[in-house]
Amino acid sequence: MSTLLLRLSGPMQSWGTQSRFRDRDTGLEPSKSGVIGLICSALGRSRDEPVDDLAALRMGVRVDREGTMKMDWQTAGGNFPRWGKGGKVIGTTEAVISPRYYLSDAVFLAGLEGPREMLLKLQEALRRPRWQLFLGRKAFPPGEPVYLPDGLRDTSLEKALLSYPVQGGAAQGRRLRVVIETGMDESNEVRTDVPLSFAARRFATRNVRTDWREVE
Amino acid sequence: MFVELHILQNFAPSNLNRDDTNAPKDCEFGSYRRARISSQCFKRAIRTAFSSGGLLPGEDLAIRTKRVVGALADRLTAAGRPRDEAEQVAEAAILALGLKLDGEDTQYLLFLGDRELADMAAACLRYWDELRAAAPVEAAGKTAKQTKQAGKASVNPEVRNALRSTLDGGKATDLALFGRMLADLPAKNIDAASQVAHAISTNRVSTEFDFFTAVDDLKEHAGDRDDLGAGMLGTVEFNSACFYRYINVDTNQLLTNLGGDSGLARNGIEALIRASITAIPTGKQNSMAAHNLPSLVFAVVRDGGLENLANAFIQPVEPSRDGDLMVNSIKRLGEHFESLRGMYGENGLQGSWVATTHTDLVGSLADQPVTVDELVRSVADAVSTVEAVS
Repeated sequence: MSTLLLRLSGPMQSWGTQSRFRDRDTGLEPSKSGVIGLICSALGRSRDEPVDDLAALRMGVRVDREGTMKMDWQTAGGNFPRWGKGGKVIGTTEAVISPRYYLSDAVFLAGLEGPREMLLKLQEALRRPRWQLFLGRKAFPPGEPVYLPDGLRDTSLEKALLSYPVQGGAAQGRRLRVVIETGMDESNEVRTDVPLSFAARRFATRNVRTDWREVE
Repeated sequence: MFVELHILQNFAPSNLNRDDTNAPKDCEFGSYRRARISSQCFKRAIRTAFSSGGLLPGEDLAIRTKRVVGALADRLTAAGRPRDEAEQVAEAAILALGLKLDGEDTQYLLFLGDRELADMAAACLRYWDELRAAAPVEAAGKTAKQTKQAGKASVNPEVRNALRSTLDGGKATDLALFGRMLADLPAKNIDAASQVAHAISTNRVSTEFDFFTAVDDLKEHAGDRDDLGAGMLGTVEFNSACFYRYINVDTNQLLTNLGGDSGLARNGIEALIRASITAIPTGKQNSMAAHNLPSLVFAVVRDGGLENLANAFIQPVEPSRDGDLMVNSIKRLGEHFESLRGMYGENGLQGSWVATTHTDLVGSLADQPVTVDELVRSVADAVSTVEAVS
C-alpha cells in the first residue's frame, strides 16, 4: 500500500459537510468529499462521472495549523430600486443574506492510501491540474502548491502522515491533531463525507478516529 | 491554457466591503490580521465595469435579477403586445420552465444572458396563445397564487422544450467567466471559467474608527444655551490597506462556455483584464473617495501549474528605510515568484508581462515593463495563438 500526500494551505479554506441552503458551514479539517473533489478538478473529471475508485482510497488528515474559524458575510441583490406599476420607485430590494464560514490561516497535510499505480496518476494530475484547484470554495485558491514533489510514499497512511515534515512554518516536534479513516471498532466519530455522486449530491458515512500524535 | 493576474493595489482610508457589523472585512493570514475584500465584491465591481466602462456590449452580458417576469414582459410589450397580456404570458413562461414565483418575482436571483432573454421573448411570441391559455388562474381548489408557488403551468412539451432550449448561456461573457447556479434547473448551471481569490492585504491592519457628529443647523442658530450637543453621534470603521489580488482564467473553459466563439473569448479575456484593473467596489465611497488604481499588474500565461503568490506576504509587509509599503510589497512578490521558480521549475510558464508605476522594480517578473494596453494585447495574443494551433 502506498500513500499520496497533499498539502492544503492557503489564507482561506472551507470544508463544509452539513450546510443547508444559505448558511454554509466548514468543518475543522478537510473533508473527504472536498479532497476528492479537488483531485477530480486536477484530473479534469466532471461531476457527473463516477468517483468510486477515488472514494475507495483511505484518507487521513494531519492538522499542521488549526487556523481560526471566521465568517464571510455575503449578500446579493439588496438596495436596488423596486419598481411598481407606472414606473415609480416603491422601495428597495431586500438583500439575500448568506453567512459563509471558513478557516483562516490553516495548514493541513492530507493523505490518500491506495495502490501505487493509481496514486502516481493522481500525483501527476496535481502537478499539472486540468482545472483550477481550490480549497473547498472556488474563491479559495491554494496559497502553496498542493502538489508535493516527494508526496508519494511507499508506506501506510499513518506512517506517511506522521513522518512528513510539518508544513506552514510551525515548530517541529509538537503533538498534532490527526483525523484518520478507520474501521468501526477503532473509531470515535462518524463523518458523512464519502462522495457517492457529486452530480446527485449523495454522500455516505465513514468512521474516523481523532488522535494527538507526535511527528517523528 | 491559463491566464493569471497578480495585482498590488493600495487604497486610501476606506471601507469598500463591510461585514454584518459594518466593519471592513478581514481575515487572518500568517497569524496576523489582514484587510480583505471578498471575491464576490470584486466580481460584481468587475461585472459593473463591463457595462459602465463600455468594455463589452449589452448583448454580450447578463443581468442578475428576481424580476424576470417584468423583464420578459418589457420585451414583449416592446414587440407590440398589450401590457396585461404580456405579463400573463411572461408569468406562464417562467412557470413552464419549472421556476416558482413569489408574487411577481422568482424565489431567488437568476443570472440570465441578454440573448437568453431575447430568445425567451421570441419563444413567447411564437407560442403566445398556448402560454396565454396556461396562465395561472383561479382553478378549483387552488388560487392563482398557490399555482404560481407550486411552479406549474400546463403547457405542452413542445412549448416547454422551446423555452428550456433558450437557456444555453446566450454567449454571455460574464456568465461564461463567473458561472451560475439554477437550483431548479441544474442542467442549466454554468461552470465559471475564472477564479477570483479574496483580496488580502500585504500589511497587517487594525480597524480605525472615525468618530463623527452631525450638526443640527437649526439648533445652532436657535441660540439654545442649554443644549449645545450635536444632532447625532456615531462611528464609522475604516482602514487603509495594500491588497494582493489574484485572478485566473481557464481559456479552454471560457471557450466552451462561449460555444466555441474565439472572437468572444478574446474580447472576454481583454475585458476581464481591463475591468480587473479599473473596477473598484463602491462601499462608503461617497465619504472616502478611495479611487486608487493598482500600482502593479503582473500577468502570466501558463499551460498548467497555477501559482497564487499570496505566500509572498505570510510575514506582513511593512514600510522601511529602503521602501514604502508598495515598494516592499512589489519586491516581496518578485522574490517569491523567483523562489517558486527555483523550486518547481518553469511549471508550464509561457510568458509574463508587467505594467507598473515602479518600473525599476520589475526585476525577475518580466524582461521589461509595458503599458496596460500592451499587457492586455500581449496576453490576448499569447492565448489566441494557442487556440488557433489546437
